[in-house]
Amino acid sequence: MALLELTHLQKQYANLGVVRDLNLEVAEGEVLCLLGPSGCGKTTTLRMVAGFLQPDGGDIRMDGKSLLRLPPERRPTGMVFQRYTLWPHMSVWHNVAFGLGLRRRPRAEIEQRVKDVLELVGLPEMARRYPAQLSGGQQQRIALARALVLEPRLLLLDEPFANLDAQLRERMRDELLSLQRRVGITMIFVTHDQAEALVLAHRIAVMREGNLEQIAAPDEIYNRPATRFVAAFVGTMNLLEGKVSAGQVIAGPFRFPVPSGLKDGETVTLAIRPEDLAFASGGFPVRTVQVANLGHYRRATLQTSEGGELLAFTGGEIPSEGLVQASRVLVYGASGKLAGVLEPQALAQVKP
Amino acid sequence: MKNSWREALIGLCLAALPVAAMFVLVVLPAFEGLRFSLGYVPGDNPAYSTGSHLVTSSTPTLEVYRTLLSSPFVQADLRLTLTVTLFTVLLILLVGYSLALLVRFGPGRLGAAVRSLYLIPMFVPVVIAAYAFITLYGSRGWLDALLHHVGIGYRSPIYGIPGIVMGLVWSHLPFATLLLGSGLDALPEEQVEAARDSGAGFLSILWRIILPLNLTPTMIVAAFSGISVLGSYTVPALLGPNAPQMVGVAMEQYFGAYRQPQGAVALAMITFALAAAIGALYVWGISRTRRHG
Repeated sequence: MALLELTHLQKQYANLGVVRDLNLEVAEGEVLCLLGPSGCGKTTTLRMVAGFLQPDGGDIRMDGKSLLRLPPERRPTGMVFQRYTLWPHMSVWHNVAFGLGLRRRPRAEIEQRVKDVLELVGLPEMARRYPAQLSGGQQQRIALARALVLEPRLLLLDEPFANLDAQLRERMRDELLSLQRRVGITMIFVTHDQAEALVLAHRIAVMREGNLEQIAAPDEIYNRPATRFVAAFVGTMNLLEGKVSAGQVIAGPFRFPVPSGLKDGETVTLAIRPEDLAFASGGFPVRTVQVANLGHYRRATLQTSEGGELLAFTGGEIPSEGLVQASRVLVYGASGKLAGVLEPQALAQVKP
Repeated sequence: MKNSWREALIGLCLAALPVAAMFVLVVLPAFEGLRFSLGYVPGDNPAYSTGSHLVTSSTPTLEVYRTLLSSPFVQADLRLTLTVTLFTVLLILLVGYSLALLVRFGPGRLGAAVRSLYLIPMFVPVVIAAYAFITLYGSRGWLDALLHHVGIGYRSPIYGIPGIVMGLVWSHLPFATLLLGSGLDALPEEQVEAARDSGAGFLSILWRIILPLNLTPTMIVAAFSGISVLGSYTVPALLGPNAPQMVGVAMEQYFGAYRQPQGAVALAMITFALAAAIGALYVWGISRTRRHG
């Protein structure tokens, strides 16, 4: 049985559905990332699980029991917020020990657990400091310690690294990953940063306008985005609009047989990852418009003979003109759903 | 170089006007009052020299203070003043916090209603409010009549300490609630949610999170209400007892009815010292709360 189940979850603000009929499950020990653009309902979902918002419909169950009647202080969840939420009038020690004190744990136990959790987040020497004396990253680690010390069944993280600079964010992400591996705690992590989601999650739930677009493992999300939205949102993607005509899909420089399920006259979108495009002896002709050196790879902007632009990521040489081949092409129908994936064998039949 | 002199001169001229106004309206009268209360009586100024029971001395003397403070009537006045100040400030904080919390955390409609109502006393002149209190809660007032109808006895709070406290709480409440409410508005929602998430109920959050984080506005309200109540006149004069009296009323009587300006000024100096003590407490408290940034 799943640790957490969200069934037909709904939330409206001023008659506008922010979360619409959301169904998902989180297994024990799993890290689930809710990923999506601003306003897609991911934070609202998290706040409903934490108990800060009451859903308009549906249920939230943990271990099979509904949490809806429980206020946040009674739920077996711990939350780390986006903004630094340490209480500035309390020392780090008192911030972390706050919840244990409320539960009237013996003094010796509180001392030990606070010490252990501060060691876990790598800040054992900060116990006597006040939040104003800590950096942003340290404050978020203490906020994490404050949530972890209560040993919640489920840890909820609402874009906890959003206020940190890029380098620190990356480091914190790695630290959280290693901490999760050590402790094995179940987590729901809200983010709009795809890299964060891809690194941290066992599964990613991509949300859009209150709906769940796709829930799958990071590899699946990246390699087989179920919808055109997911394809466009996760990672960099070349999108080419086209049409089904006389048994062929025609899009930009591509002409190939129609995958099953597409009808004549239907509009389609081809999605190609930049790393799936490479200069080769065959393929379609392109002219290199711009090259940006990004250190470990280069990003080339290529112009097709039809005038369209494509991005290609490569570590190799980039000629000013040449032929380019796609090793993998995703095809989306008019509904926006994935209609087929053209792998190398299928693409060998592609007639540019 | 010339420009910097000109800028400095403009700056000085701009600052000179308020400084001069403060000197003429505050420093000079206060200094003159202090000298007068210490026995220096300028003979050529009838405002000083025509009063009765004058203590005159060529060297500073505390005789006026000694005489005043040894009077059981003045002692009772001071006791009443301090008692009323203490209770009024506590009630202002209690009621002000209740209203501010309702506005900040209360359910939508109730919060909105309180937000639009609590400022009303600010627009009602204190004299009118005091007479309204007499009409409503005085002996043979509205409440008395109502209770009499249902056979319940009534003892009016008007013309006693409760009457003064009621009137002063009424008149100070809008300012207090406004200030406490602004402090609560500035409190990040997540700070409260983090406490709830840690398992804290409403009272724990109020006592351990909200009050400490809102300490500066609380101290401002306590200090400024305290100072204002200490020297208040209209409400104690209209709703208070004949004796003992609050020092504001006593000062007026020393000055007008008894024609003892020196006693009135000495009482004002004592009131000033008490207000300064509250001010010092406020500054000490603020510096402590800001230590941890």
